[in-house]
Amino acid sequence: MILRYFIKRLLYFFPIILMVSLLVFIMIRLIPGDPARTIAGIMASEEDVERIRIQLGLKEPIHIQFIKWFSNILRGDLGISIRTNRPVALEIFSRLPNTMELTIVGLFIAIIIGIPIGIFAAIKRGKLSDTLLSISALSGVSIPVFWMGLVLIYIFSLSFGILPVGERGGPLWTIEGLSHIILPSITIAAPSAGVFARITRSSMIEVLEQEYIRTAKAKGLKMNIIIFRHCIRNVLVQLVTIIGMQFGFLLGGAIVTETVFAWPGIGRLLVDAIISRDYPLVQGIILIYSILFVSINLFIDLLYGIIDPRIRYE
Amino acid sequence: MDIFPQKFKLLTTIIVIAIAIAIAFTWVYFFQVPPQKPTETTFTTVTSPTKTETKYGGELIIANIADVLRMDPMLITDVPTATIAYQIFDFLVRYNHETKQYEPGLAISWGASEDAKTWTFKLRKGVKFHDGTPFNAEAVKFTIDRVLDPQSKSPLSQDFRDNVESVEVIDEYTVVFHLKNPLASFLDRIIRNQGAMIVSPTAVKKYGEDFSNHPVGTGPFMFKEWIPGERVVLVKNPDYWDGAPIIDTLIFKPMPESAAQVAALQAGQVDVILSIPMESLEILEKDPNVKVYKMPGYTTFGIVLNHKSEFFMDKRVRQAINYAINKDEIVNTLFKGMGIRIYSPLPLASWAYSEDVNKFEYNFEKAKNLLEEAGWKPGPDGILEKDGKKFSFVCITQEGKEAEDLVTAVQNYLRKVGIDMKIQILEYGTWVDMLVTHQFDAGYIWWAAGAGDPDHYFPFLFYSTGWANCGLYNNTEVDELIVKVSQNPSFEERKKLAAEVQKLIVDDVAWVHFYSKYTMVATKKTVGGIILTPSEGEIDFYKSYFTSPKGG
Repeated sequence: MILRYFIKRLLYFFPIILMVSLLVFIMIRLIPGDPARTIAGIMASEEDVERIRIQLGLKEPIHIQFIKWFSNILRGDLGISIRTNRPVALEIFSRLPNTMELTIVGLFIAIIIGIPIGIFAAIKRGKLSDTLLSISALSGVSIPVFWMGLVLIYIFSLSFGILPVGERGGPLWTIEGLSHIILPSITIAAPSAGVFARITRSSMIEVLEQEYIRTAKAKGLKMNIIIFRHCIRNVLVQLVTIIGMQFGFLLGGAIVTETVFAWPGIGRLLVDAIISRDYPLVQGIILIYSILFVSINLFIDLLYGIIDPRIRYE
Repeated sequence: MDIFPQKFKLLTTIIVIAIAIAIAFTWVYFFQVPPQKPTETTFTTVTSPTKTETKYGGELIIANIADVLRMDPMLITDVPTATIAYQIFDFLVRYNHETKQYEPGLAISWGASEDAKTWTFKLRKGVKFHDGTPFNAEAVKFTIDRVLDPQSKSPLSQDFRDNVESVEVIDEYTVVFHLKNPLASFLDRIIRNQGAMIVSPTAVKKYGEDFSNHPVGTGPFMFKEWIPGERVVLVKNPDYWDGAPIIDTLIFKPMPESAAQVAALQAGQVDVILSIPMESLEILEKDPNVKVYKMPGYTTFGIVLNHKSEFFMDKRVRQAINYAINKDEIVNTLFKGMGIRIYSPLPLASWAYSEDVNKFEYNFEKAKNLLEEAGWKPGPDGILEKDGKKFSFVCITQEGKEAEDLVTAVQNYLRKVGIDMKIQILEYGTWVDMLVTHQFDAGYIWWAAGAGDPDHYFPFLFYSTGWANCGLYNNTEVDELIVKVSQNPSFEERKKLAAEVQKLIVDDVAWVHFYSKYTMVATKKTVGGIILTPSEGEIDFYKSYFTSPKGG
């Protein structure tokens, strides 16, 4: 049963990746400007730029370009970055783990901060603590990541001098590594924590109003047990979706945090690649991103099936 | 059949999630590139004979605004990579920016023929590349030939081919350049051009295209490694012909956010930062633990007017616009401490810069009168009109505070005389594209060069067929003068001719000129011996040192 469900979802994988690739391929070529100008630099003449365009294969018809690129992908060859002359795969995979690390730690922090806040606020709904918690959740979502990052640097690195300014310090299990990842992961977690708090709160409130909860209370069950045994599981479905979506957003949003904290990740790479129209690199990064994103969603769908039996039987 | 009994559901979910996280982490660390721990610092101490100051070596950590790209000198088009290349490679000739004299580099003497078409260089003996192979005339020829090659991937290729006919090896330490035309600025235009950074022929033949990732030169520092997104490490060349550097290791770290760079410098995490944001300049100058170096740079910023635009075809209108903008006010308020007011297209740092031009001092009345003379009368809404057409146009600009501040200020001044200028903020690549394809009425523009020689500016920007002549400026007299400036062998003559060119260009209002930027770096106060130049990115570290052991 689950297997059939799983396979059905898996079948969507390939067409989605293909469509996304095609879309990005076309879109980036629609923007004015091309990589030839970037490589040539400001000092080059139009003839030089034209010559480089031909060398890059940009003068061939667009569908030929796409077919060439895609067939290389199927063979595992992501191409060569136009700006750095190095394999796209190398550029991406030397940085991707760093972004993943930051994103996962950030997500983890967002979950352990956001969800308890949401639960607590739901329990105390209508009271002062609820208002305060809801406001903090809203701030988390509204405060610009950029600003927050710089403020954190200012407070902890400059004024107190206890945390380093940026860069990655090493694996998570070292003091070096931890001290370097704290600030960026808090920065990246804030908006997500806010989202989780708000969703958890509203879901919980909905569930708490349900008949069977009142029944449980009437039965004399203690509040904690009610929450942990009954409520959370029902809230879980919504939460799991949101967490999955947030992971996708975090991957993309890591760009700003990575820039502020000089974190050697893939976000900054993508921005620079787009600005300089490094087509192979942009296409390669988006391809990896979309594979990741689709995989995560597939995984979430799978979890759904486990958590909520009703869905499985569709 | 429901194979998941109620009580196992939560457990299963938790287990599945835990496994997923475990897999994710394992994968993440499997691919992890371990960051390099700082190398053990071995101090080299050099006691200077004249001062009692002891100079310490160690690791110099430099924050760069972006990660390095291709390190093959003939392929470099971005400043962050150029800065690194300056440490790895040498030119045949050096230039002292204080005395404004050329000094021996890899060549110990040189001379030009009467007609400035043949240049002979005597090379320094006993110099080795970082890979141990000898530096000689063959290496020079190899370096230049690979740029001249029509199949070359270098964007400098066309420019080199337009000027250099061939390079001839006379003997092991003598090399001759045969030029197509007399080129008075040969030393700047070709010899000190990054395309002429001397590369090791052995290394190029060995690595081929991958030479970009394994640069080998004769410079004071040798390339050791590059961890993408994290650092580029250079180590000192103990056999450097000008004496081994005191600093043992240079570490370039990409930190794209300038505010974070400033914080890192103040917190002591980096020793040098290469870009200072306007907002932080004052803070850094006041910080007792920081030294700021400033020097007028080889840059020029302005607004270019399209001479084929219906609005700007009339010279009176262009001049009126110039009078209508209070450029002194704009530069002195918006760019205080960062920009120097200039009146001509050449940067202040250029030896040919001349102020014997129409300064177009702010004159509201004159501007209005000129506009009226040209037939523009105020319409009912205050905007000028002529033959039913409103004086309303678009000024394109690149994004960024500096650019946007400037054009917004200009917009305000023009509104006062009844001109409606709209601003279109474009992304960098698009802005460049539109400028060089002349798709604009007015545009924010700037130019930066590696030297102050007018040949780095005039032929591209103001010669009628110059590819960077975005405003389609066309003046035959100016064209003739530009050629003369390029070919006349006498320094004094060139200076005079260049002054004439500037006078005409400014009077014709090819651009509205604003300022020249300072090149700036900031360092910890314990760092000394930084050599800053007016050329953006050209900073030399081979004489740098610490005044106290690292850790202080």
